[in-house]
Amino acid sequence: MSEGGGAKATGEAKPVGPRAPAASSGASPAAVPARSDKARTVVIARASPEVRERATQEMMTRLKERFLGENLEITSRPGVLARVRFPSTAVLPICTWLRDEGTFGHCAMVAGIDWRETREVLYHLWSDHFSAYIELTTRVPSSDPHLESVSSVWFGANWHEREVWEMLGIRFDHHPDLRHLLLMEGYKFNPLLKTFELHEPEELEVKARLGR
Amino acid sequence: MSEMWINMGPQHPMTHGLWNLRVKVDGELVIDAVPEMGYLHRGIEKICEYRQYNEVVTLMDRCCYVAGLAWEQLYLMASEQALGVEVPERAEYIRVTCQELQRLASHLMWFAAFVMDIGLMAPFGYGMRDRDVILDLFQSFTGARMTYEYMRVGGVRNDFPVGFTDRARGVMDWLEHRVDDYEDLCDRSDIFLKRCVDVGVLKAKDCIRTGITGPMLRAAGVPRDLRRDRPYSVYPELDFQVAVHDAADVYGRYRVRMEEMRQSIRIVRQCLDHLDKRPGRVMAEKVPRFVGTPSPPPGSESYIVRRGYPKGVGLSAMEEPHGEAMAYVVNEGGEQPYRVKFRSPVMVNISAAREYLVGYRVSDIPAIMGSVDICVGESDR
Amino acid sequence: MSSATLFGFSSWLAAQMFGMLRPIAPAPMQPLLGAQAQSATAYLLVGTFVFATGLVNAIMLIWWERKLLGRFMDRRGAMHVGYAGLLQNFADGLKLFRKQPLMPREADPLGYWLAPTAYLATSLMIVGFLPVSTGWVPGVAPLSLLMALALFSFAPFFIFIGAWSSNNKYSLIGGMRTAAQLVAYEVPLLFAVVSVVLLTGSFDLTTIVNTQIKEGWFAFPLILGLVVFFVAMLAEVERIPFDLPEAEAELVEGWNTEYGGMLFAMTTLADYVRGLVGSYLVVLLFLGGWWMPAGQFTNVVNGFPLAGILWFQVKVYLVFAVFVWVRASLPRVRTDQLLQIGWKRMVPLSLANVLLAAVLVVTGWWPLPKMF
Repeated sequence: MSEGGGAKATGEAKPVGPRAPAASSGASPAAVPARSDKARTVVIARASPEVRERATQEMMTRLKERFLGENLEITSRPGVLARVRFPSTAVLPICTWLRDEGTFGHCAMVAGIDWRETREVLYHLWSDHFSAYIELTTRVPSSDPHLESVSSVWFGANWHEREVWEMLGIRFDHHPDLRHLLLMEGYKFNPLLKTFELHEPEELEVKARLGR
Repeated sequence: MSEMWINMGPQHPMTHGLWNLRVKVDGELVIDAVPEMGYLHRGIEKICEYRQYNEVVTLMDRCCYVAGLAWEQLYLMASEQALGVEVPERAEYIRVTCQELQRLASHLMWFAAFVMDIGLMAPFGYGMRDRDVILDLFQSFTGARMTYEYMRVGGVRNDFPVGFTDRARGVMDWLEHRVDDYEDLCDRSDIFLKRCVDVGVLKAKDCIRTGITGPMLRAAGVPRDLRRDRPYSVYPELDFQVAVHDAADVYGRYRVRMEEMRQSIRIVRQCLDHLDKRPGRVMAEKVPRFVGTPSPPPGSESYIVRRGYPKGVGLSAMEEPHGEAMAYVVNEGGEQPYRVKFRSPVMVNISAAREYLVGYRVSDIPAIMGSVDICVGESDR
Repeated sequence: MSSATLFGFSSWLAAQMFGMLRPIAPAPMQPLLGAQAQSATAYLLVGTFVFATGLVNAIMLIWWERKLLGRFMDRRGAMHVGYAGLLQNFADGLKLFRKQPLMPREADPLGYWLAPTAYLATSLMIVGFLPVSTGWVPGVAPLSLLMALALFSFAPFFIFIGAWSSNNKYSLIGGMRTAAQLVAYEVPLLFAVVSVVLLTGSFDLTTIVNTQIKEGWFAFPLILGLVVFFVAMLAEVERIPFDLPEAEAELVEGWNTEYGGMLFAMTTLADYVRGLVGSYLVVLLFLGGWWMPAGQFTNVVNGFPLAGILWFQVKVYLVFAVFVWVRASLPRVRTDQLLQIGWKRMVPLSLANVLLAAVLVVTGWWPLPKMF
């Protein structure tokens, strides 16, 4: 937290590393910031759409070349950079590649959808470089739904995968801590499967009245 | 004293809701932390599959109880994309006004709770009082103070009442001075600085690795704000800046939120000016009418797919007061969404608790968790 | 001055009661109304006065704090029970009194029940050694200051016993913090008192106040001592910014987390009795006791002790208002910061203050020349 922090109005953000943790007893008076050190605001010039489009195409080409054997289906979809469908066995190399080469450093969301015969797992990754999301999707059979965990790639995927596991029953192999997240310990059902039916209170009331 | 585990929660003043933070302490030193969620899980994602698109809005208010309107818009942006509905411009401006007012209310609530956590009594009252003024504004056009149910697929329920813009401008003028006051109040307190500076440090690299978003990320020096980086609604037409701080500690987060309040006031003023100049519809002309008896839920065999409805998928991402929120809506042509998935920023921010708690003291836990800004309703859904 | 003292008043009251009772009491009761019984009743009345003074004042301090804190936070505080909410805390006390006392199953019963009782009892006992006006001191002792401070330093033991026997981790941490904090701040507190004793040469609080009446408030020569004493007293009575033992944000309610109902009421009450005693001591040692400001010209107090009580109360409530003011405007410090402030700032400051007092006495610069 330097004095110059406030003066820098534009440009790349340069995070300051942490000082020794508080275990070393208390902040020294020198570390107390000057009062004029307001949070600064940043303006970053954005690349033109053409440049971004070109960069995206280039990245997609490289992705395809790298994973030639995996039969990637790359389609465009509004709102995301691209939608990449890949076989579930290739999740770990693709995610690692996207993180290291594709600048997708932030795993925003891991979602699951139950399509009865198959279950879909969606990864939404954010890249500060492209300033956009990319959507990865893969399907696993409902008979044996399992998938390699990506929480070794992004720490942030950990809890998302736990949630998908308990809600949709998709096992994530080599997940460090695959426990229930939102539901109670030992809960046997997967509520977001389509076979798990909700009952409206009125419906239950009618059933109770009819003695069923 | 030997090491021991302490359960901070689910009923604990620090948690601001219902969740459990298990910390392992060695005397006063935190050496491990395991957050546990789920005490407020209501299965909103599942219930969404059994509700018509407009009925889900009701659930969104319950989803995040300090930023209900933001979540309404989050869900509606995704479902409008999935349904192929265009929202009129005026409605978009009204939504952005709501969202920024909601950000102000949420940040004021955060301020009140945060200073209370580190033991400051008086500003707690100030934060709650000012939030109440914004809730009065909400009440004047939604009729409710917490569960608004204001937005609809294709726009908003009703326009702002007559004279609302002037009233809101007055509130903004007043609030601008108040924010400065609060910042003075805290920054001139040496104890406040001692409690905040160099506490709960999480570097930018770790923030990105752990998926932390929102003010926590910006306080670490990463200028990522979806309002600017992935513009939605009418944000591209508005003039505002992204608050960033280099400190990566509790103090930086506090500073970023204070600056965000100022920027929100700026945005609200621009929206109000625009609303004054451009009257118009607040509801799209062509909206699918979801009327009649609800069809059986998608899980059952007799699930009726209404012909003529477009299928589609909607993804929306928004800079909610707590961070990056996302909604993913799958429309399979029924009256209800086939699947709704939300990304809660708070859940991810809490999941990294171990990263920013270990090495600090028990007394630091409320300060650090206070600076995370927790809303359990949204993280547990 | 004999009649214008608390004991004199109690004896008079007892005499009046017995005088009324003797003619109407039946013959078998007459031996019970002798002179010994009368003096015993007088002593009992003194105790009752102490008890009532301590408790009623403590409850009124809670009201005073709630109102002030409300104003600081831009609200009104207690409003509805009684005039301006004056009776609110009595109502709260009644509510707590009606509640079932629950003890955790794994708690140690003896320590659990003993701690709040002993905490409140020792706190109330201090009131018995503090004069509130000329002659209005229940227990006349030449070492009353030492006695008060000794009783004052009992609290950490009872708090720790209560914390330990509650069998709760929050309580345990709170108890540990209490022990560390109270011991650390006892040192500057006593050094600040030593400076006053140096100037007066007496441990008798009445003498100390009388010296101040003659020579002016000790706050003027010993302003450093007043500051140190005040800050140390903030820590001793566990108020923000030093309320770490019951830091509600992290330790729920600190050492009394497991106490509910009347036991909780007793601990809270004892906290406020200690707050009251702290304010008493600040006023007695540094702010001229019951002597009205610029009172050298008048002799109202000596002739009419109730005026002294009035002035004393006004000063005490003003001092407590400063406690509340501090609470409203300062955050809580951290454990390590607390101990740093205690050992690295307060102790050297208090030693400097003792040195100052010694210099004043040795050089004969004190008493200061009269300004009024």
